[in-house]
Order: sequence, then C-alpha cells, then structure tokens
Amino acid sequence: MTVEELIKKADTLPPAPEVLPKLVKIMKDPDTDSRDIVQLISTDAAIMAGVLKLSNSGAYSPASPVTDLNDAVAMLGIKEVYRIVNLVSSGDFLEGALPSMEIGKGSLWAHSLAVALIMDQIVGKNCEMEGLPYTLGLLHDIGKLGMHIGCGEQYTDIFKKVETERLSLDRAETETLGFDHAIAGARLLEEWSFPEEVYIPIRYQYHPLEAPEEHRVMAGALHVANWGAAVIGCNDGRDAWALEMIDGAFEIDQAELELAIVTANEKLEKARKALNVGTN
Amino acid sequence: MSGAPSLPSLFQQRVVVGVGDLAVSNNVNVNLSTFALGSCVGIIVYDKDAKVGGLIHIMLPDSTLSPDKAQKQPAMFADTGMPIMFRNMCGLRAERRRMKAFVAGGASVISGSDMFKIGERNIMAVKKLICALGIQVVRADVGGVNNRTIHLNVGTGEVTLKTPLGTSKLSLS
Repeated sequence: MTVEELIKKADTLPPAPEVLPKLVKIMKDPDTDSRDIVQLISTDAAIMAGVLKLSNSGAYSPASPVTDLNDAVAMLGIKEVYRIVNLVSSGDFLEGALPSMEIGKGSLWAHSLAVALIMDQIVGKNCEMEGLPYTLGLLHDIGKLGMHIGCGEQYTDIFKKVETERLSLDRAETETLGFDHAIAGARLLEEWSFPEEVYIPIRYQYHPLEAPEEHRVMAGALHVANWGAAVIGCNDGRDAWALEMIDGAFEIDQAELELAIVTANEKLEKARKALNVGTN
Repeated sequence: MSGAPSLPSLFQQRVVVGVGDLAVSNNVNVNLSTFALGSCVGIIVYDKDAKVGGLIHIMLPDSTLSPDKAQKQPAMFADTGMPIMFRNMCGLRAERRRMKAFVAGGASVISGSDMFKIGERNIMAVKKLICALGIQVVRADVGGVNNRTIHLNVGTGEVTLKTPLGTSKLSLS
C-alpha cells in the first residue's frame, strides 16, 4: 500500500475540516484582526457553539457569560479563541479509540492536547506565526487515525517488529508499510488544504534534522514535545515509549524542558477537568 | 448464587492516584490505583500487620528543578514526595521495619541521549531513597517501553500490575 492509497482508503474519516485550515491561513497574516476570525467562525454553527460553550467553561471562568463570538474575542483575546477553535475542530477527529494501536477513547485527544501545551511552552514565544505551535501539537498524530482506518490490521506485525527488533514505532511502520504515521498525517493535512507550515513539520517530526531549514525548528520542537507528553503520562497505546530521540533535534536546556513539561501538566489538568478530555 | 459478588467486594472503594500525587490508607476496603506509568515511577508500600498501604506516582527525580512547584505538589518529585508518604503511613501506625515495597514504571525511549532517559533517572532516585530508608523491595518491574498500571488491595496487600503484555499479581503480605 502507498500513502496515496491510504488517503483514498480512509474514506470513513470524518469530513475534512473547513474552518481550521482557513483559520491557520488567516493567522499567518500579520494584519489579521478579530473581525476576520469572527466572520470565519460564524460560518460553522457547530464550531461557534463549541467556542461559546468552552468560553463559558471552568477553563476560562469569564467574569460574565460569553454570549456571542465578539464577546469571546473581546474577553479572551484572539489567541485564546484561536486555541479554542483548534480544540473544538480537532476533537471530532481525535476523540475516538484506535483499537489497533491499543489507544483508548479520548486518549489521542489528551495526548495531542498535552503536545500542544508543551509546544506553546517551548516554542510559542519565538514563533512568528501566532498559534502555530499549538496547532501542530493538536494535529501531529492525525496520521494515526488514518493508519488505524486504512491499515489497522498491520499493527500486529508492526508491534512485533518493535518488540523483537527494538525499533521505534515510526521505523517499524516504515519497514512494514513503506511509510509512517507522520507521513500519512502530513499528506492528509495537505489534502485538507492546510498550509505547509502545518504539514511539513508534522511530516518530519521523527526526523527533524532532515526537514527543510525553515521548518526544522518546529519539527524539532514537535519531536521533543511528543516525548514530553509521554513524560506526563499522555502517551497511550502499546509500546508507548517506542520512540527514537534524535540528539540535537531541538536546542533546549534539560531543566528548561522539564519545567515546561511540569507547567504544561498543570494546564492539562485544568483543561481535562473543564473540557472532560479523556484520560488514559 | 454462582457469580454473585462476595460481601467484601460490595464495599470496595477505588482511590485513583494521579500523576504527581500520593495516597495512604488503612481502610481494608480500599484499592489504591495509578494508571499510565510511563517514565514516571509508582511505588507501593505496605505494612501487613497494620494493614496500611501507600502509593505514590512520581514524575521527576529532583525537586531542585522548581522548589515552588515542589511546595504545591510535593509528590511530583521523588525527593519531596516519598518522605511524605512514609510519614503519612507512620501516622497510621505503620512501622518502617515491617514495610515492603513494589516499584514499577521508569520506561524510557528506545534510543536517545540521557536527557530523554528520564525513566532511568527516576528509577535511580527512587532506589536511592528506598535504600536510605531501609525498605525491603519485594519486586521491581521497571524500564522497557511499555506503560504500566498498578493497584494495591489495602485489605490483603495484593498488588496487581497491568501492561500491554499482560497482568500479574504479587503479595506484599
């Protein structure tokens, strides 16, 4: 099977997200203002309802009820509304269980949220494109969904390879299928019209030093944040630690990284309580 | 009445210990549990005579990383959390000389620099502290690339270990 065949076969995936790729593109524009965002979100009733619901949840505890999108933007700011739209949009894809990989219901979403929060901590301040690290974190494992639907039955062999040959999961996938879930995810995101700032770092998350130079930092940050999510217990699935960590993938001091993980863990706990995101 | 639950099982309560948290109990109807131990290390300690059990789920070895966070959540770190668990157990009349321990977790990546082998650092920190306290470790199931879930039945001292590879039991009585 090729990755193109997989994308075609994964026809039982939820419908492609309409708002999120457009929102990411809007956020690329330094002249973006809140009206652009409100106008876009208003085109999707389900996302609008989700944004209002989360804006009023314990995660944000607004001083007075948020009743429309303009309120949400005014009270929480564009950045936070952007994060909420990301969460609402990706929840449809990431909430379900992936039995072929022994990932329970809600666990992929919790893991992805943990990676998003760590990305915010380790690379958020230095990123020119507002919100990109968070989006990358939420979407980095979308390929697992495609792999589960398109070739889930192969994972018995893939895990056998991990266990007997001590290979990382992405390497075992590549040896068995010819591509890994990072490549599948990147292809899916490209198909869904996400900009290259999203799908290229995701494509190279396991081999960040091979990424085109302009995407290397984000790919490296994803590489490290994925590991960080595992440290706080958010890496469900069989052989959850079958990761190969590349030296020099992302420049960060050990203590700084551990502190970022601890801080992300605190935020994750708050988000889990407020949003009822699955735990493993 | 085949298949009917036994009377004690009707009263069993589960106390779930989260990441960076701990619990102790002398209630014989309590099961202490923690889930998804990856690089984190879970330590179960039991005194069979006092029927007192404790479980801690530590995330990092050393609280010098963030004294503020250690003050707010001491069980996140091995060096601040473990002494509190032992102290709380002694407060329930457990005695150190009778305590037996089970240690699990400390998974690490398949390959990578020491920076990413946090599981190994956690295991070393825990072993050092347990050794200093003179606690007998009955079994340690550590390392590897799998997550682990552990349970302690405070009434019986029975420990259950679950991994993707299977379930095993041992007794700390």
